Amino acid sequence: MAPFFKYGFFTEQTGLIIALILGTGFGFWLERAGFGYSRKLALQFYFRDMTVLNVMFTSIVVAMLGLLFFSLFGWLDITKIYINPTYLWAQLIGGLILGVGFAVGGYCPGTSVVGAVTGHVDAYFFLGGAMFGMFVFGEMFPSLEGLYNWGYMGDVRLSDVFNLSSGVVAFAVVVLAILFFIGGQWLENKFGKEEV
Amino acid sequence: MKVSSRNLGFGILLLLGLILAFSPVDQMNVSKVADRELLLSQLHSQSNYIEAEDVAHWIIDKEPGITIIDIRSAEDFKKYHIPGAINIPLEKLLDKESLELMEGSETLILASNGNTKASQAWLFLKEKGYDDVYVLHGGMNYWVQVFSAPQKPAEPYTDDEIFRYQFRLAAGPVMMGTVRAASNTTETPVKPRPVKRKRRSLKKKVDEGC
Repeated sequence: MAPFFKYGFFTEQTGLIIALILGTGFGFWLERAGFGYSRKLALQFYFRDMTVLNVMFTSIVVAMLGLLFFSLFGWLDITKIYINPTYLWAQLIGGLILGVGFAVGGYCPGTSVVGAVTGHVDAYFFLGGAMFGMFVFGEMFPSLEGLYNWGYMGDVRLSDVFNLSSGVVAFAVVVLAILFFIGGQWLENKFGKEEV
Repeated sequence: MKVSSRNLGFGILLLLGLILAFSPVDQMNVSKVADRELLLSQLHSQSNYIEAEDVAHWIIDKEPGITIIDIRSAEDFKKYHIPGAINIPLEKLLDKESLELMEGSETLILASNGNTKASQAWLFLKEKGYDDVYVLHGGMNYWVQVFSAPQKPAEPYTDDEIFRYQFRLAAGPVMMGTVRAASNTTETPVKPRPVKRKRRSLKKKVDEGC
């Protein structure tokens, strides 16, 4: 019965090794999808290449359906899964900052590592900037703490907020994803798909 | 009619979503009831116990995310308690306020006079869905005995035994501090401040992103 770690099927050390394998695989597939290349990533923001959106939504939908079906089959105790706590306003502001950085720099934190590994010089600059930003944030943390905790809602899921069953929310997310896929393709056609 | 692979994919996704929308996903684990067999095996193997020395080490190291819950009566708690412990008498264990006190803590340690009541409380909390709950092995009786008058191990002793003895001796004044405060009539025992911790710890700060 999953989650295996919570039920003590393996130790923290084994967990770290599994994390390493998963992380390496993640980086590999990011590179294979062309995400180690800032120009391709930046095209997302000009609606000319919606690969990022498609990949993100695909992974969200696949993971969501997988978790819920596994839970339905009794293979997984979903209450034991760690949920990132929601800090609504803090995360909205953080998301905007990340988005601006993404559009300007052409990378997000994960892909900049991939880009750096494959030898893109701009990725090294991006990583350096990210490190510097972390340092500044850490030093300024006492004055930013209010912002950091703004809108704390606990470990909530959409189904808790809207008071719906998770199945209905899952269906809504699937519909949303399909609308985004179709809309993305429409935008690509409108603004012209560019091959890089 | 020819169906493109894209539309086929959309169709499968929609179908899976629809199945979920009408299936009792939330009823599967909604009660958060712990696996009873697992609880039983933990009780049997005594892996729900935590040793007094380990707790003392945590207190000295100021280990974050740990809450010691004293489930004895408020009266007993006033006489003596483990430094930093909060008092939630057994009968109030499942009150809303009590659960709020336990909210932000990662690890809960239950202390009663002996093992029995703490073990009962342990079972309740586990059933409530708390993951990291332990019973102070031997309870307060053992705790006081160990830290107020540690017994020197009889010869011949191993290194480990003498180290444990020395630790108990050294930790004693810290661990038994409130007893002295209580016995001194001019000084009122310090009421511990129930600290409500935010649910945040280093371990949980691991962010996932793209």
